[in-house]
Amino acid sequence: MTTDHNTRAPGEGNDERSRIAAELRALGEPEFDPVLEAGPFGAWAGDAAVRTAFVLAHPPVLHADGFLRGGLGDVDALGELERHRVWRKVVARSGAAAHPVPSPPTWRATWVAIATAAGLALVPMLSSHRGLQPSTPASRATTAALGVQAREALGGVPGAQDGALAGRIAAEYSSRLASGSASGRGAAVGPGDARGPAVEGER
Amino acid sequence: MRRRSGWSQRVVLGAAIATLGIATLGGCDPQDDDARDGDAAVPDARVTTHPVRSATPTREGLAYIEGVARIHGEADLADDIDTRAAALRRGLALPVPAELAEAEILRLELATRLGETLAPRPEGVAVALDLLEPMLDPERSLPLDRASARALVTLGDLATSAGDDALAVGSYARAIRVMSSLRKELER
Repeated sequence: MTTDHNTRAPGEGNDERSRIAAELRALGEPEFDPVLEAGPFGAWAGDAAVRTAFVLAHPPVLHADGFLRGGLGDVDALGELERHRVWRKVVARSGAAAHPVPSPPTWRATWVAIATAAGLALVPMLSSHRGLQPSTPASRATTAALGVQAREALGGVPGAQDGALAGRIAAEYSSRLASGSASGRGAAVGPGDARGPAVEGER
Repeated sequence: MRRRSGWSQRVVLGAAIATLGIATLGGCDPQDDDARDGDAAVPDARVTTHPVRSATPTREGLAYIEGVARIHGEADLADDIDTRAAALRRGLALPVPAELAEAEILRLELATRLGETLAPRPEGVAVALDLLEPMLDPERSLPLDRASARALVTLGDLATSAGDDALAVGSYARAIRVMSSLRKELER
């Protein structure tokens, strides 16, 4: 069976899917598991997973003109085939979620339905309060991966924080007050401090 | 016995459907729909940063910075979460002298530490999110400093705890971008 997961526009028709499948076959790449299309990955989770996976693989780059390119901003420019490939990598990392869950016993079906209905009813109420969105295993996995990446980026530039940072700023500020000068604080305070022009980036 | 079981199941199912109907009606507030546009579930990874440039130092500015340093010292010595959180809240309540650019970073650090302090509490995540989310709104420019990235990582962690994947992903992505920009600036 020829299938693929088009996370951008699932309803674009079979022609696009057939074309992607043909391209994948020509490249000798495996086809997509049909279970996943009807599986636990909703459209939002799929799209979010593609976006985060793309950011992990393509970190944003600051160009000479001062603008940041890459990362989430370039995801929208991906072609259908590229999105399909990123999505497949996401699924490969979430192997457990790729297997269909066996149906529960019949006598439990009613209770499962009630619990599901109650859960679905709670989502809009909770969302209106806190902005919550339903999580899936795929979105949780990619969120966790991005969290690790963010922590690594933060650790890549060591610097003081909390009381140590306040103490260093106080010492530097006091020194400047004594000499009566105004300046940026980057050079005096050390790594992790601000210098340079404003940088803008759009998702 | 079997007939009674089927009857009770129908009663429970009917009650559930009624509950679902009421709950759904309660959740379908048109104002909420207006407030949450179609992109609400999409991670917002916009980042705008500005350099931290101090004005001429003043005695008021120095007093504020030293006050924040003292607050962190009090928080370090606190034995429990409540005492530490109270100290950090006092720090956030300190009046900021005009044109003290350093205050933006110091307040971000206070809020981040307060968020980290509150996070282990069951109700603490929501409180911390209410504190940090407006300070780190994608519409706002952030100081190009490690403190901004640290705060965004903390916001991402809090959002993850709250099950808000869109906010978590957006916050982590923004933290990576801030650190990328910062590294570039430091390498110049």
